[in-house]
Amino acid sequence: MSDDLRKGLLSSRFRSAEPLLGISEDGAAPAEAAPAQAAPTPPCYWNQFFHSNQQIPARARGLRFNVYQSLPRAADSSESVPVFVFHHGAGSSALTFAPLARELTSRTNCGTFAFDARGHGLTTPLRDQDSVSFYNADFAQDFQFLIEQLRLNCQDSLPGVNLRFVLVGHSLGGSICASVFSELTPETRALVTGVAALDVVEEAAVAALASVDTFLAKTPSVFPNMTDAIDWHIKKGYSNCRASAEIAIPALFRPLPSGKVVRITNLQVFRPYWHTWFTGFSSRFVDLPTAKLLMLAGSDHLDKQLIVGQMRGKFQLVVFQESGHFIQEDTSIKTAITLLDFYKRNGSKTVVIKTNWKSRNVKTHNSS
Amino acid sequence: MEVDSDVPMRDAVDEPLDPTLDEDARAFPAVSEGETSGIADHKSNKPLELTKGSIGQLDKWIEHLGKCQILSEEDVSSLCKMAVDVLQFEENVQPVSVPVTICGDVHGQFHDLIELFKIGGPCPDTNYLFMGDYVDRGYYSVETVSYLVAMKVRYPKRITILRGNHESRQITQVYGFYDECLRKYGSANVWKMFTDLFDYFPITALVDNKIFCLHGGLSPMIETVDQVRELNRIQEVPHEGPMCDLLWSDPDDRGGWGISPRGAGFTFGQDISEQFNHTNDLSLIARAHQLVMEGYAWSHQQSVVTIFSAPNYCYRCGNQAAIMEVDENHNRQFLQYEPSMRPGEPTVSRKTPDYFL
Amino acid sequence: MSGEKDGSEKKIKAGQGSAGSGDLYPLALLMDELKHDDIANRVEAMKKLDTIALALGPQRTRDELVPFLTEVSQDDEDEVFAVLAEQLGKFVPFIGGSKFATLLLPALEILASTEETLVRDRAVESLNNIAQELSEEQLFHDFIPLIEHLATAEWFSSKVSSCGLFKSVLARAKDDKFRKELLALYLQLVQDDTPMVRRAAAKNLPTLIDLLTQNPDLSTAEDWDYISNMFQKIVADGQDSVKFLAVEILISILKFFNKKKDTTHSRDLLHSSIQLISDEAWRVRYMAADRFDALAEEFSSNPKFMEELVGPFLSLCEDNESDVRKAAAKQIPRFSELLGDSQVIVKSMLPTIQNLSMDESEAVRASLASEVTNLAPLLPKKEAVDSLIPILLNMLKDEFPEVRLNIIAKLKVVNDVVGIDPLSESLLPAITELAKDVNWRVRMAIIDYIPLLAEQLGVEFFDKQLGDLCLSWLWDTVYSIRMAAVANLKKLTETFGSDWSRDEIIARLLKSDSQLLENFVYRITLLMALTDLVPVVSPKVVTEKILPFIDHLATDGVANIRFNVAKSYAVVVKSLSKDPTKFSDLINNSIIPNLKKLSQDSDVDVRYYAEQSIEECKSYLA
Repeated sequence: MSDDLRKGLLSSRFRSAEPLLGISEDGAAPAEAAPAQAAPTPPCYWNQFFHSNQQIPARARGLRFNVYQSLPRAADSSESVPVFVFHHGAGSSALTFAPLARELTSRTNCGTFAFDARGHGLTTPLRDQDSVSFYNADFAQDFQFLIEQLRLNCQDSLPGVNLRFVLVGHSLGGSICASVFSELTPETRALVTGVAALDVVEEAAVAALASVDTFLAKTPSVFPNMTDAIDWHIKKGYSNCRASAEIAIPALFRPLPSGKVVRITNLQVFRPYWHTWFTGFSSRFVDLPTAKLLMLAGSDHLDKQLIVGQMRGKFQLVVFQESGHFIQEDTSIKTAITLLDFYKRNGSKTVVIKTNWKSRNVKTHNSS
Repeated sequence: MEVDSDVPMRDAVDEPLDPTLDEDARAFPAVSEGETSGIADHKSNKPLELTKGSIGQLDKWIEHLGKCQILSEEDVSSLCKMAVDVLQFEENVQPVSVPVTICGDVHGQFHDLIELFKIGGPCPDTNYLFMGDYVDRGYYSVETVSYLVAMKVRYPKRITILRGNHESRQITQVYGFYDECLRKYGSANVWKMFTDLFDYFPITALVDNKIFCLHGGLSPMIETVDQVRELNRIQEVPHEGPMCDLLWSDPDDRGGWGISPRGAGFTFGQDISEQFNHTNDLSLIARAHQLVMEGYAWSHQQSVVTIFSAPNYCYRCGNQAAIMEVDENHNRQFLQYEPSMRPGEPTVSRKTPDYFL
Repeated sequence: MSGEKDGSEKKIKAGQGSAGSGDLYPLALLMDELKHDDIANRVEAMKKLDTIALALGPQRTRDELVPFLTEVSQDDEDEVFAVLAEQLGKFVPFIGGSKFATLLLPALEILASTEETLVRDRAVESLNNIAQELSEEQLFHDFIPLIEHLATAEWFSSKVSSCGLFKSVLARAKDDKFRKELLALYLQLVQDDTPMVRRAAAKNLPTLIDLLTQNPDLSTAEDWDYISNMFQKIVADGQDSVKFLAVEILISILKFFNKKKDTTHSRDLLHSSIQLISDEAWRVRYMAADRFDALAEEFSSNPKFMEELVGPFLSLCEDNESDVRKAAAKQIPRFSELLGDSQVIVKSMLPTIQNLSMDESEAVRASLASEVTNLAPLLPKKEAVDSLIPILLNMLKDEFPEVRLNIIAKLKVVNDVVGIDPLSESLLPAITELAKDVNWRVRMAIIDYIPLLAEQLGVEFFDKQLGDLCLSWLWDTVYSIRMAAVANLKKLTETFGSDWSRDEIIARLLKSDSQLLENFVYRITLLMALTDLVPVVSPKVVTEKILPFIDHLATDGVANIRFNVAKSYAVVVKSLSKDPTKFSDLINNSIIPNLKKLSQDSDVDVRYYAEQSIEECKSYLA
């Protein structure tokens, strides 16, 4: 098939409404939402990936955050130790990072931190469900709050440890990472070694939002049981790794008394906020005054801002061709190795660049 | 091929990768390192001497390629074999005499390469020095690299082609050249031939002992031009070390050496450039590697010039391209140009990913 | 990936071989391939349908493959459908010829109903191809019911497709009643609720009318009531994108009545034309302006009607929308020609041209410039000089290069009528400006016109005004401009002669600033310029002026110069060898030894080109 034809087909596909498939049998998901006060129960097995699970009430944010973390293991204070701080994408949850977190902590003494963003997973509003909004800035402020808390918590429980943060965001989460950086307090910002964005490109994301109705129409909210839900995500290619899907997918669903499972996040309620999610991401990312890593799945499909940035050597680009959109699930080991390498390369402010130049002692500096 | 990253993953090698790692890698056309194309199996021990027959053949190929038509797989194989016997005898620091026209990245933008020759004059009437990155990203990497290599074999004294960081097995599998070969030839053979050939490309050139030309920039491990001569360049671009740096580094506003945000190579400041030029009695470092909107850009108070010869890079960046003419008296003239007008240029429309979340 | 593809090809070949033994292998294989997860594989499989059909033979293709494909056409991706739709159009030979052709209709009917335009278009094309092969009976029994199905379906996509199928049956429906029914059905489509359907109906209507024009005795008055009704509906459509198609329909209608020499409706149709021209929707007016020549041509036998079109046309030229003015500006000379009355042209067209030549939109001015010179032969000479020329002169000063270039490109027409003199004074600054344009392609364009202009301007004017300019292009920074300048000098020499070239070009080139010649670019350009002149100047000029310069460069420090010297020698010898007795001494005792010296050069390319030239020279002297 010619490229032109393929293009023609693709573009028109996004124009035309596709028939609704697998529409929710008992109405929209939130209708059956559990009372916000009930103690949420995380899916089993989480403790194979993180050390602790907590609900952190944040009155200022009006939310009770569901958080998973592993504190860094005590290290020699001369050496810095990183905490990888994750932000998931829209419709996903903290546990999408579970396999990646395990790969990271099994390889080094680093810490990991993941949470369910507002409107997702087991994070719930403290009071009124309706008053929650989902602007880019809302997510960023939540993230900022949690990162500051995390710093205080780490410094409190691990005094003397030379702490560093690496912010890692997937999809919308990557965009939030780029937004949150400038919002951090100077003390915290000084500890950030770099920002890693997983499979997010502004142009592609904005284009994809235009066809999101098709996506939603094809995405069932209810499955007969959890196994079917997992199978569906694998069959549709949203997850290419069963082991990862088995921890990440259950976190997206709540079991009903009937045994059926229903999707927690109602993607439709985000509609009014989409336009704020990715707009400006690419240039914001390129201009971040810190080390930057962009990891893409499938192919190198950068937009203009990112191409110019990459061709000027502004950030590191890694492409995992065999991976689907959920890089952290599909290729958790390679992702972990890449992140650790990124940290090692940029982590120390006093890095010594080996040189054999005899003429003089030349200065060295970090890229940030 | 374990990890397909822009940046070779250092340390990944220290750690044996989990054997399950590739299980989820669906049908990715992994090419084992051991397999070669065979283009270098029967290397000659002296530089290629062209016969009437081979000149006729090359002229035919050049004419064919000039119309943006690819050669057959067999012809590419013959061409690459001849090219090995030209390039293996070039030096790590290939001497080039003036007058010469120095060019930067082309990246498969074949029609813009033709435009470049319209601006600067055809080879062999004009002498050329290309500083790497012939393939990837543009739609005509195969035609571009075939054309330049054919020119190189036909007129070895008139054109010099250096290696860029994209002339590498790893990078081309991610940024398009591999896929293009597969699309245009139905197999990876042609890709293998060219990437095997890339190992023989010289990595730097020295114009009349005064202008040091290379793709990326300086290395903290290379203080003198002589140290470049000591490297073993006939290999895949390494993940780190001096050869990697020469193809990856960038000049920077800050002094001294710095970690490169690219994840490979280093950044170097004006003090470094001036020291290097002083130590080696150079007037200028000419390099490519970075997109510059005007097609060329000075840095480090004219110690370093960046030249970029792919106009409207990736058919979307809106930049001008440039080449630098150096005459026999070392006068320099920059010629800037816009994208060529091409009939039926593929419109840039990308497959929208089937997700947004 | 490629491995899989290769594999499937091989398997199909194997299948072909075993088809004779009557097993189900090819079909089973196709089914397998069509179930492949990768869409590219399914597309590839579809592309090979013909091979499979051939292997199966007509009987089994009819009994097994076609039903299978009908099933497939309901459940796959559009990319696969698109290939299937195309393949089926070529399938008649594989199923045993036209008598079985209707078997293909069900699958194509489904494909013609899909939402994807590309699939639909291909299905419609295939259906029309098949219709060509159907007998009258098949047509009535199967094809027309298919059209009716589609045209009355619920989905807009089916109806859109049906609009494209009427052309296969309308002219073959000899029965008046039947044709009337078809037109009645089409009228429904013209009035459909969905704009997409109305647009498709309006778009296909001219083709249907043209069919009636080709068969002038077929249609009845009743048919024309329907067509008139359709036209009225389309003209009154609320959607601009439907309404603007009325222009093309009107032209088709006019052609029909002109062919029938029936003028009874002319007045009405003129009225309709004028209404479209002055429609409130700019898209409609644009279409009227763009197709004005075709429209006006249909009224050209009636001077009275033509006169009535003048006012509406002028209003198009003054339209608020620049796109409309741009389209109208191009039509002025052709419409003027159709009017034929130079007094009307002077009175109405010239003031309009004047206005358009100062239009705020550069696209409008460039459009005017591309055609306006064609007006010159239509005017009395005095009017051309007094009224048209000043406008052209002004346009030569336009700030937009394309306007100037368009005028210069077509100056010949004006020159033929009034001579170049009235223009030359303004021409010069215009050329000088273009010669300095920052865009090298603009510079290139003006150089290309110079030989033509030189011919018209004459040698005296040229020497005085353009000589320096032509030489200065040799020193342009862009190689292509330098080479265009070289070619230009050669063409000028062909026009003005060898002596002129010797005095005005060669003498001046040889006096080039020595500092200039320190740069190899200048030396090589000079060498190429002089070499290019060799074939067009006298042997005396070659030997006395050009050859010494070439000799001088034979020892140049730059190899590129030396091998071009080698090439130049061959050109010189080729030219001189026409008079061998006179020049054999020079060739054998001077040029060939020089070439031999070059063939021992230290540079491989110099040696190569010297050898080449020696060979070439031998062939001239043989």
